[in-house]
Amino acid sequence: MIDASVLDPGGLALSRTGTVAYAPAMDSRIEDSALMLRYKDGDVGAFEILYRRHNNSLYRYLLRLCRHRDTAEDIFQEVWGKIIKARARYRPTAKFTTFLYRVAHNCFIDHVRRNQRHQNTVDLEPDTQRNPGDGPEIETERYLARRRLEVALQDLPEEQRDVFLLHEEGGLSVEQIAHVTGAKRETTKSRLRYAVKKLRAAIDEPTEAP
Amino acid sequence: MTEERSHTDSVEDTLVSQTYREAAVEQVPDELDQAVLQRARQHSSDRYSRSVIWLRPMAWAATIGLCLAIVVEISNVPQPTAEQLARPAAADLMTTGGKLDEKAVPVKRITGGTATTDTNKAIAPQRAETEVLRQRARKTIDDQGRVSLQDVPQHSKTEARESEFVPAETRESLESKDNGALLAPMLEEADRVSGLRTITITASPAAAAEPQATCDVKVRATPQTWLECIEALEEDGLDDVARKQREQLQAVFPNFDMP
Repeated sequence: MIDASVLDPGGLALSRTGTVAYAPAMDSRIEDSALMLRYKDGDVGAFEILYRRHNNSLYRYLLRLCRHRDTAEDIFQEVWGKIIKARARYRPTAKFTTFLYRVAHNCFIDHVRRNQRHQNTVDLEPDTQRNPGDGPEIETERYLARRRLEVALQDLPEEQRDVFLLHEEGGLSVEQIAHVTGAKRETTKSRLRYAVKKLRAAIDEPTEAP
Repeated sequence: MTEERSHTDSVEDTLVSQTYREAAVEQVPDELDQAVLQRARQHSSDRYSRSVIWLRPMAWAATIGLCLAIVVEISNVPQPTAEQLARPAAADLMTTGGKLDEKAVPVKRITGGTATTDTNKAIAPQRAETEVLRQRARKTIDDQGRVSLQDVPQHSKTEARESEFVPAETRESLESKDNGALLAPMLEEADRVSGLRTITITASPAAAAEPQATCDVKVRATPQTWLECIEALEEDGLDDVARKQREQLQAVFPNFDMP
């Protein structure tokens, strides 16, 4: 029996009503857990709504965590497959996002234990975001900042990268990340602080003359 | 930014987050989306299919079973007319509170006549038989509630032969119990057996004429009415019955000047 309260024993996630800055846009009309329960009763449309809310965030989380596109896609399918299979036992005792990223985290850990394929790097091409209002110099500076952040992110230790990605993509709090990863809250907070500090240093790194 | 994150995560860095969001723009490939959604639909339909596989046969089995139960129940319902016809005779016996003698007990109705499955044909003779038995029971009960054998006409040879089919235990029970209330269940049982067997009863002509050839208790209340009844019997040609009635009248009313 999947008991989401294990993932969020304090129940803090359930009291959360707003949206996180960089978390996926949430449809406040229908809660994730309600959609999951509707899918449990056979409503495929509810699952599609739920999937559309979290698919891209989860995909980016796995893509940067694995650093290998094919592996990320394999794990992505595995995660959603487990969610689908577990719908009959799902109990909405915690936030669905916590449950989802816990499954994803465990799938990634299992994959790492099975093989070392994830150690290969992937070119994420972070230069797709362009703001037409910015001048060429500003655009170039942002492009370089994104490149440095991507490199720094891939250079982070796996635990720090995991915490940072859960924070950014999953929109999880420190406590929720601690539940997902199984680490202590202070450890999680420390990892997140180190990760952000290193990434900020990479962004602030003076641009070398071309 | 949520309140929760703002107070728990002092490590928040807006520039880092903004830069990351600008960099992280990957979308799930369409084929991956379709694969996951297809899987979700397939699992949902599989679950529905499994439920349908079990539900439809169960629904059909339940319907068929219900129909069979109704048919069996209807076919097992006893023929109501036979019992309903038989019960008044027993009820009359009970209301009289009289005591019956062995020969007056109307349990000799199980006949060896031609058996038939036609209920309508069987009911008519049984009804006549029931009425005859009721009249006999009334005749044999005197004013003191005692039953006499004198008034009971002799049974025909056919009836005498038919009496051999009366169960021995039934006869013993009737002999040992002289209370009408105790006798009623036995009579009902005999009526029930006759009704279930749907046997055609062949009553003798003498027995058929008996309802008119008797003087009931009310008539015998006064010697005048009793005598009138006897005269009526004589006019009908039932001399034997009239003679017995005269003898009984003389015994009950010895001071009555009988012509």
